Amino acid sequence: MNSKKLTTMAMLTAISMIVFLIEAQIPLPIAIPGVKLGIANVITLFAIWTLGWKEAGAILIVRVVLGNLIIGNVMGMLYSLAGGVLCWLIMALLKPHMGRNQIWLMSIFGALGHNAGQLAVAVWVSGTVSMLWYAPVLLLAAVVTGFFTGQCTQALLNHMDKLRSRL
Amino acid sequence: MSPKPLKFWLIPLVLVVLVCAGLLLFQMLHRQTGALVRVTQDGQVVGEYPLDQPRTLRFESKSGGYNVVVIQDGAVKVAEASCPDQICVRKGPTNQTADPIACLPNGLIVEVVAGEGTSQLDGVS
Repeated sequence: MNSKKLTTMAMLTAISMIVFLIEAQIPLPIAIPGVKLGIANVITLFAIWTLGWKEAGAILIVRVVLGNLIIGNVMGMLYSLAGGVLCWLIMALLKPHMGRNQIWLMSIFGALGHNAGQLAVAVWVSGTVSMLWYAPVLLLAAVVTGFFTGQCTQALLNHMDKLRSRL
Repeated sequence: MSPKPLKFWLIPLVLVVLVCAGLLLFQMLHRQTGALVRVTQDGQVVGEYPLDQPRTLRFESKSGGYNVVVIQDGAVKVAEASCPDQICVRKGPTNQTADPIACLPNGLIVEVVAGEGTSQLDGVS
């Protein structure tokens, strides 16, 4: 691994943590456990696309562990980890089959995986299958938030291209 | 490996959305006014209380958090919680089955169940 890549990874980790911490401070108008925009996933998606799936995984793990430690939410780490890893896995597997203009689709499938993973942890931790009543609304929410973060990543990638061509 | 056309991805996506919308509709129709409040903490049922008797309950979690559950006017709500997101409080009161209130940081699930006398199958027969 060269130092340029390492620096890029460190910067992306720092950015994703800042995004994660800021997002955790913003309450959403909908009171459904587990629903959030997941803007930090823009960085995971961006890293999968520009650096590679392994590098993206490393950034994700560091962000989830450090981010939740800073918030002081140990339970949250379990949810973030299950959701984040499943999301990353799905997106990494889909990457070779996706065109550059299909990032929003990758993001939606990843978000579906994220919320499914979180729900699985919720059922496991709470020990009640009644949590499954939240499944339909959580998955529908994932389609919306996944589309949003996917479009953000698309915009980011397009702007980075422009930036690189001017350097 | 070459990218697949948009149609290839849209089919499973539309399928997921339709199934979820269908399940959501089923859930809405399946809901009915219950008679009993069941409180579960960390996978253990810690109490069952009739919905028609007003009371205030306090549940402490293992990690030192707490939830104040209030039963009044034939509905149950979480009035106060130690969790940072307050999702359980913001959800508001419910008297419906299939509509659990969850406080995941404290491992607490408050749900309304039919209880004796009002069978789940009443609506069907």
